[in-house]
Parts: sequence; structure tokens; C-alpha cells
Amino acid sequence: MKKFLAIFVAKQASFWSRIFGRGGGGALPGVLALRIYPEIVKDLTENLSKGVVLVTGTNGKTTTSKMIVEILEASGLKVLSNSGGSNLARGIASELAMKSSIFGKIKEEIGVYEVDEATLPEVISYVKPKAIVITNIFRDQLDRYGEVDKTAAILKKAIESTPESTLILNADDPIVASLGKDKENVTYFGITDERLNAKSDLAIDIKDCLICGAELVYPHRYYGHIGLYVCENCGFARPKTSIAAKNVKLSPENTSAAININRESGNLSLPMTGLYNLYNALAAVSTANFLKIKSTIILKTLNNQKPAFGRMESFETGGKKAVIHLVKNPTGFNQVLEAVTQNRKNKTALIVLNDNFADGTDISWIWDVEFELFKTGFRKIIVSGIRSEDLRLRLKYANVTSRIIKSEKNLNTALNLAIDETKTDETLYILPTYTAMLGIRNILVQQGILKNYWSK
Amino acid sequence: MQKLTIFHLYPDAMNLYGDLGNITTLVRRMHERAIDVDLLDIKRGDKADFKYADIIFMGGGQDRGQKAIAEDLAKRGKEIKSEIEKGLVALTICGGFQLFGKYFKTSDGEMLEGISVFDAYTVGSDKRCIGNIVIDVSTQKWNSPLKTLVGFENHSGLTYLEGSTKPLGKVMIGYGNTGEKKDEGAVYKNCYGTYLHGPVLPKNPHFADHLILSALKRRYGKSASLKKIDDSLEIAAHKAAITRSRTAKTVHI
Repeated sequence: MKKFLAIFVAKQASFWSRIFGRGGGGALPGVLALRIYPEIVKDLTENLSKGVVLVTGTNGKTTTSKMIVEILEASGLKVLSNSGGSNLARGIASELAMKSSIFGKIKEEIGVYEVDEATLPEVISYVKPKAIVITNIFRDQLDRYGEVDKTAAILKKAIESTPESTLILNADDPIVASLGKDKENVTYFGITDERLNAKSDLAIDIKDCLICGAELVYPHRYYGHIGLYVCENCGFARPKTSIAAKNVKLSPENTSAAININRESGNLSLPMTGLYNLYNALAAVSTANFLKIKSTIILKTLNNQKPAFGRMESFETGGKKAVIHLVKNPTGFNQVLEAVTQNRKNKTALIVLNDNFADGTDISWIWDVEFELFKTGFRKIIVSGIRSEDLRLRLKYANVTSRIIKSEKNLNTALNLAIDETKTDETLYILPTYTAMLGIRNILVQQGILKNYWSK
Repeated sequence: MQKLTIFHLYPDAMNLYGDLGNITTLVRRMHERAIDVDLLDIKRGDKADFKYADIIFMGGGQDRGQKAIAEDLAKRGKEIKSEIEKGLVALTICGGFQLFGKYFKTSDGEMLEGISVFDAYTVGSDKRCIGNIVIDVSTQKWNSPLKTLVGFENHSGLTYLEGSTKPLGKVMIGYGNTGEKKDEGAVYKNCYGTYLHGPVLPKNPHFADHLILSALKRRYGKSASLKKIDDSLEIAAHKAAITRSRTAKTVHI
């Protein structure tokens, strides 16, 4: 009875939320459903014949989950997922309540959920996942999680509570790889390419071996603490991978690599920029391979990817091109900047820094971002958001000339200004934190330029 | 040409929360006054003679980073202390601040020995003091219309001051050293400790300039002075941070 009531109330909440134009309702239906019937997630996921895959990590959760879902769907499976990007337990409960019949029956066969690192223990207490995918662990919203070490400790404990689950881990991230040490059902993915080397020394989160504390040695470092590493003291080293990318080629709009799946070689050609997206794709390949999806389906789907909500979403207005890149932590921002600056043409930027809870209330991380890269190639930079003054100051200390910078607190005005300042042959790069991204998308949806993300 | 030497202690292990921005700020504000800067990174095991330092800086770190460097710092403790007695300028943040006190007893009972520059000790706790912070520093004789420091704190260690060590300021918004008394940070001679990240110096140009001027006076004599520069963006960010501190919600773990 409680189950029935929980699903009913959640469906009602979502319905009225849409009617009143407040979006898909996001987490609200889930909040209500969980309050009425706390077992709802456990109960409903037991109906999924092929089980549940959880995707966690600091960066790339949304993109990786989206890739996995599309591969599984291309193979003919019916998939449940929290594609709206509400990756807390209530978001998952929302999605389940929406998709199930009023009597709790679900026609889908498998669930793919992105889960916040701190939420993983709670979600695992509801549902024993078939696989847990961990993309990477970086400095994120430290005000919420404490420290990188603390995040790793939370994940470690969560993993130990579900020993039957297979771990799909990034071999090139020593923090993530250390979680698979001495475990049996682990599979690793990574990149082996000695021509790739990090450009930035900023925001390296760890330098010490997580097993013994000695300094890690990196024969090759790709970015942040991601790369090929070894501890010369205890022997902890980057593990062997079952899915590896080689011959990586990066361009402003495409990332390609040679990749082996079950000894069959194939070519990955992602229509996305940035090494971080290659890692997302490798995580998706590993997961799909674990679920026994054919390699041809995997590659075909990935090679026809469209970006996830607010991640490299592009649009055109008045003949001008614009791209939205969500930025939420120093490594992510540095990676986006590295990708953006591969476009050598003149460009403009709109950077928006908010410090609401979902953005992380501590904004000091912008000092670990290489704003110096804005010195060349940008014709105009607009700064906005709740903490626009901090952005403006950061640009000053990065020696970006004040002539090209404009501060505009009002987001609507800032967006219009940024579009006006962009010439027809140029690209506007919009770099917002999470809640700023939602604000910008709202404005663009109202202007009919972007679609609501829930009206797929 | 005047020249100052900055020793950055353990930039590899103690580099949380954009603390590097403090170095960026010091260097830029010196360059704007045509002061030459020598910046030296001091890592575990590196040779360093603190007689050559004008300013030393040590940032915050994770527990692991702090444990990793505590032993190395202890070996240099006597030398650093003797230079600070002679007026060496130092800025220590969070984990660095804690290790410049007598000891840090972590929440799992482990003792990390500090170098006792500050007459202070730190005890780990279960709660975490997180959020925007504003402190009143009007008792400091810094030549500036700004009378506050703004930043972001994130610590579970609680620091208690004793004896001749005075607080840096009084908490207006936030927790400070213990979350109970109003004290924030510590001052002993020209050595400063604080829990303020943000990083602290960019948005608090008066504090940055006070550190630079103190170092100049020690090296070049009491008549040394600092040319005024345009701080309008710094002050705008300082004021915006105070306004935001009044409204932003603080989240506890």
C-alpha cells in the first residue's frame, strides 16, 4: 500500500510540476516517494532482470552514464536511468517512480545510474549493483566532501559492503586504481600513449602512493594525477588494463584512438573534444563489454555520440556558434581550457561562477585553474555569476588584459552581451558552474534556442 | 633594485584550496612595485638556509600530506624559530598554521609534533568548520581602510591559543579557531597563522601588502615604503565576499 501511495504521489508531483512550467520536477517526486516508502528503490530495482550499474567519480559521471545507456539501448535492451542529472538517491527514486506502473511493475531490464560519491553508500544499501564504474577522483566540492582522501575512503567502504559487484576502474588514476587492489572481480581501463604529456602542473591532487605514502613516480602524466605511475617503494603501479586506448589523436571537435575489445581491434572516433571524454568512452566500453554487448555496437554508438546535458552542448543563434562546457572543479576546468584552446581561431568566452550548494560553496579552486590560458586567442571575456568579482580578480592576477574583460552581474544581460560580442565566424565558449549552467539553459530554452532536457 | 626571497614550504604536499594563489598575489604585488622576487620551493629533504628567506609561506594540506611533512618540518623547527624571533615574515594557512603550533592531536589520537612558533595547540574534532568567514582585524596596525579579512574555512582541527600568542582577528561571521571563542588565527612577531583559504591574500590586499612591507623593512630598514597601487578589483571582491557571507548557507558534513 505504501509502495502504491509513494508511486502515486511521485507521479502527481511530476505532473503538476510540468504543468506549472517548473521543469520535470527533478528530485521532488523522489523526495516524496522516499518519505512515504523508504524501500522504494530496493523494491523497484528487484524487478530489473539484468540488474543495476552504478557510475560514480568526480568528473564524467553524466557523460559516461549517457554513453552506457545509449550502447545498451542500441543493443536492444530497455534501460532505466537518471538522465536528468539529479544524481542523489532522491533522483533515482524519482526516475523509478516515473517509469514504473502504478502497481510497481517495470518493463525495463537494466538500470544505469550515476551516483554522487558521497551518496554511493546510501544507494548501495538499497540496491546491490552488478557493476560499479569509477571514472576518477579529483578535488571537487571540497566543502561538501572534505578532502580527496575522504572521498576515496567513502568509496572504499561502500565497495567493501558489496563484494559481489564487479568493479570497473580507471587504471590511470592511482586513487581509483588503489580501490581495486587485492580484489578479484575488477576490470581496468586506461590509455597507453607515450606521446601524451601534461601541460599543466596545477591542481595535482596526489603525489604520494596511497598504499605506502612514498612519492609516486610518473614516467608519463596525461593531466592532473592521471597517467602511468609507479611507486618505487612498495611496488604499487598502474594495473594492467583489459580495455586500452592507443594512438590518441585530439582535435577541437574530435577525439580518436585505436582500441582493443576482446582482442578485436577497432577505431574509436568520438565527436567530442578532450582526453577526459576519451576516458568516459573507455569506461563505457568496459562496462558494455562486461555486459557482453558486441564490440561493433559499442563503437558505432560511441562514434555517433551527442554531448550530455550542459557538457559541450552547442547551439547556433544568428549565425554565431556557441558551446556550453560545464566547469565545476580545477581539473575539469583545466581540461576544458586545454580542449578549447585547440581552436586557434579568435573566440569569446562567458564565464559564470556561482557558489550555491550544488556548485560547491568554496570557490577558492579557481586559483588552481590556469586562467593564464585566456591571455591568447580570446577577443572578449564576459564574467558573471554570484562570485563574478572573484573571477574578475582571478583574471587580473593571470595577467589577462583588462581591455578585453567585462563584468556583468545579470545573467540574461551577460549572455546577450556575450552573443553580441561574438562575430559570425567565431565561437562563444560558455563556461558555467552547475547552477549557472541551469540558469543559462533556462534563458536559452525561453528564447527557443535550446530544448528542455526532459522533453526528449 | 630591491629584492625579496620567498620560501614556499612543501608546495607539493601542502597545496589545497588554491593556496598557491597567495604566492601569485605576493609575487604580482611585488612586481608592480618593481621589487624583484626569488621564489624557492622547499620540499621534503631539500637543503634550505632560512637566513636567506624574507617571507616563508606554508599552505594547507590533507591529513596525509600533513603527516608526510611533519617530520621534515620538525628538523627545521629550531632554525625557522630563531629567524622568526629575528623578524622573519611568515604566513601559514590551516594545516601549516597547525604545525607552527606546539602539536596537533588528530581525532584518531595520533600526535603530530609542531615547531612551537605559536604558543598554541590543535585538537582534532568530529565536527567540521566549513563556510565563508569574515574576521575583524582592526586591532592590527595595518595602514588600510579595510578592517576585515575575508575567506573560506574548512577544518576539523580546533586550535587553542596560549601565552604570548595573540589571535589575528575576531570572528564576525564563521567559526574561527575553535568555533566557540571569537578568536581567529594567530600572530607572533611577524609570523601569521590563519584558517582562511579563499585564497586569503588576493581578496585581502592590505594583508598581502603588510607582509611585503614588513619584509622590506626587515631587509632594507625602517624607512622602506610601499607605493599605492590600484586595488579597486581586490576591494570589490572583498566587499562582495562580505555580502555573500551574510547570505550563503553553510553545509555540514
